[in-house]
Amino acid sequence: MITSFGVFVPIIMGRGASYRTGLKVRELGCKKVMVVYDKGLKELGITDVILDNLHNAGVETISFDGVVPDPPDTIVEAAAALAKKEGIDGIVAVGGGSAIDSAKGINVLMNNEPPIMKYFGIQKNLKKGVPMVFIPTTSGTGSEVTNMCVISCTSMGNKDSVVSPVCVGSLAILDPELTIGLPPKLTAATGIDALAHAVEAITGGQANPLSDALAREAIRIIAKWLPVAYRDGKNIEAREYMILASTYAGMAFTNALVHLGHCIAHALGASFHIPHGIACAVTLPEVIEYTSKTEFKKVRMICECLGVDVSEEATAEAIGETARKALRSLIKSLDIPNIKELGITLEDAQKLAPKITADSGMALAPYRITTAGVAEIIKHAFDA
Amino acid sequence: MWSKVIVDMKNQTVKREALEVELQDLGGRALIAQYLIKNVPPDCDPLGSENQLIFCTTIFAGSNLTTANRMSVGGKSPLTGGIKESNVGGYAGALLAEHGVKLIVVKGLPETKGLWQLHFDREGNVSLEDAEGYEGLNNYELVNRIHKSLDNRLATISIGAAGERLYKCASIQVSEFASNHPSRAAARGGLGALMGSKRLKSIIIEKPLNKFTFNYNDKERFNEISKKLNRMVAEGAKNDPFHNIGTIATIEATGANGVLPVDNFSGKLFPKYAEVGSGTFLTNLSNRGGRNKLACQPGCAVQCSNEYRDKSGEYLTSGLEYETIALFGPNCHISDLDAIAMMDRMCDDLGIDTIEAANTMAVCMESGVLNWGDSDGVIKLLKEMTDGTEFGYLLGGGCEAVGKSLGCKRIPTVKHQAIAGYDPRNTKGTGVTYATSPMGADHTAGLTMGRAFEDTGRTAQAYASNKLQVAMCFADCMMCIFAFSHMVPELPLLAELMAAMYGGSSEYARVTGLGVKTLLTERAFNKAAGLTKEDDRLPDFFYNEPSPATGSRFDINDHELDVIFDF
Repeated sequence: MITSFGVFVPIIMGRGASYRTGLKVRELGCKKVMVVYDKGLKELGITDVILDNLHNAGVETISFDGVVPDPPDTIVEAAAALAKKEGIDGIVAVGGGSAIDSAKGINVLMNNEPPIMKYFGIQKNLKKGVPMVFIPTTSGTGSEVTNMCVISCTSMGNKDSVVSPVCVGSLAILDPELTIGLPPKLTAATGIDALAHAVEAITGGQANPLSDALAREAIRIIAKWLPVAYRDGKNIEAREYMILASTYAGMAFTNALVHLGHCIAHALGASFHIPHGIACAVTLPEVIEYTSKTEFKKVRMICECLGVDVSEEATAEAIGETARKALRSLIKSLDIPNIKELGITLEDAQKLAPKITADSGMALAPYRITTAGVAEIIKHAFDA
Repeated sequence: MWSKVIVDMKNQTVKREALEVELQDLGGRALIAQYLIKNVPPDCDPLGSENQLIFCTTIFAGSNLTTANRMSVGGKSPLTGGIKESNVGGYAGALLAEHGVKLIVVKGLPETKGLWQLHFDREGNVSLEDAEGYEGLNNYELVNRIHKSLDNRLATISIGAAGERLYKCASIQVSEFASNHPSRAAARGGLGALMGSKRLKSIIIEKPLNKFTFNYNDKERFNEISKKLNRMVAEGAKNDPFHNIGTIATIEATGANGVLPVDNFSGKLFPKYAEVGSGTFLTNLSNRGGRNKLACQPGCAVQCSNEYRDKSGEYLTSGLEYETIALFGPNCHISDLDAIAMMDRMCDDLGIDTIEAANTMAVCMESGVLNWGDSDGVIKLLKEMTDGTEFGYLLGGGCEAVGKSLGCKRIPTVKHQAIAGYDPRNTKGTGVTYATSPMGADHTAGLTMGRAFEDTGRTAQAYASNKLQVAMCFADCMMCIFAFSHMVPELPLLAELMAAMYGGSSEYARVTGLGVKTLLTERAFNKAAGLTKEDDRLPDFFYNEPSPATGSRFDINDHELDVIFDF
């Protein structure tokens, strides 16, 4: 099969890398940037350091601190109006996926008329925006290296994505020190999001040898270091590995794409307002078991990366079952709740099955699955 | 209430009665599926007495919705051995609706020698008449004689000698609106042979003196919606190459990227594709008094049809389409548009499917019977088919029969039916459609080109095929897919249109459900007819030989094909 790997974002990484923000933004030719973050990050003192750094490099800044989880179109549109009014020539996003996706949404609207919902889907002909620099403060989203942003559509009541070169950053700055303060629960949830990106990318229809290599390494790192970072957030080695794994997984999935697990996660997240990483985690083992029917060679790779043995003679079903058990064991070790423990009834969760199979993300699944099949996956994962 | 006409060829009786209530709000492909599954044993001999030939109009026939007067022809296919709905434009659908007829059923086989024609006269009577005098005639001469014998506006549905001889590639030809040329074809699946087996030469539908009026559930609402949809189609058509040029405009799109079939689906590029493309076509039309932007049925806003003339300015053919040009052209290494137009004329006249016939010629070239690019040779072989020589009869058996007989290793068929003008390695979703459509290799069942991530990639191909197969299935119950394509942003209005016409639900699920139910019914028919998973595969060479244009092979795995209709 002929495949392609086309989305790539330049990266600088390492402890203290964020101190180069001002220099790098100036190198990009920016004179006045909008810095996008949430208020919580300011309280932690992270954004002030970066703002100072930008000012010292002679870059003027406009702050947008209105980032909220699952960024709604209305907030993105308001921020874009401000950015245009201020005449900014660059965007710096600091934070998790919500901050980075908000920045991308703003950039989409820099030279394309709102509303943003007009641009949901794959967009090949959007007008260019401004240079963007992404500084993640969690290790999960991978958004710093992807070509898409997920936006909540307030009028339709769902989440959708803009996939476009306009969403590709000019630079990602990976500074593990910015993730030191991440609490254990968030460390686990965001880390599992990265795992979901990796295992879904490796089993998706767009997978290619480069994305597979990145995904495999991400899975290996996460299996080893996420439990360490979860138990000891101050362990800088674990934080270094995790921010790297998250970026590897982001690079893998923006080229190879994710599928059923994320369709389930989006439906669970929209209906029950549970964090994205947790929503990805609850059915991930069953999702990978489902892919094994046709992608058993890839699922075997996942097992190997998770450090579990699979015999040479194992059937597709046996490989799938092994992967399911290994993934569940990793998820359990992070105290991530199952659907039942999240306080959702089986009936309510299964009611989402038609919405999940109608999600356009199912186009990326390795093979067609019925609504009944999705309901079965939810049932199996319910109190597993 | 719509009526049905039942023609029993066993003793040549004709009966007109009210159509069953449960079939009233169906049409086209859905009506054919529901009728056949209940009335025709799937394991019957397609040319035997148990098979039935049915003609029906669409759900919105007779209404003012643009292109709603297409017609569907159905039966167990003599070519595929499975269910068949073959969809056709022309004037017949509109006039059947004016007679208040939604369905014509032709059953049984005559016990005596003879040939008949079914005649809907201007008074609204329908009768079976002797047509022995027309025996052996081909479509143009036949239609000419019919028009000479009747002084009224009328439409014809007919078979040429190919149908009478039971060629498995035989088509049923329908006359175009205004020109009366028998150039619209219910081409696929050999339904012309089924008509021939019934010894029914033609159906004549005169324009009735009293036009049937349908009792709408809410006429005002219907008109309001149809007006909106018609406007969308008219607006869309302005920039539609099918309107501005014709379906031949597809040559430019497929020729550049390896989708255009070349040298029996070799997967190569054809450097001279522009010679059989839009430029040559438009120049020839304008220099010779030919025309495009013609409507095959009254009230069409797309108007993709055309009239093509030869070098001396004489009428040669009409409805010259992309498939015919691609498959008799580059797929036979031929770049002479005039020669291709002549082949089209010969096929329409004899009454054979141009897709099947052209693939048959390419297989003859692959096997060394003809040289690549030998257009005179192709015309000679078409002449043999017309004359009914021994080899002509073999050619009439279709691409697969000929390929097997000549020992050809690369036979481009699925369910014994030849592949249309798109290489499935370079539009893989279309390959999925070819493989899995209950109709056999049929591009109109779901052409995905440009709709998945990359036409040569694996991602989303089965997904795109599934979505399109459902959409094309319900579109084929309602109207022409070319007009339908301009309505896509407002598809839920089609459910409201159904409710305004027939009552009942105006939920969009009524429309999508029609597509899903029809596909599943067709699958059930095929399964009972003995078709298996193995019939849902492309020929091996598409899996094994990379397309030299792109390096692409067909690599959609079997499981994806097996579960494509799991709803």
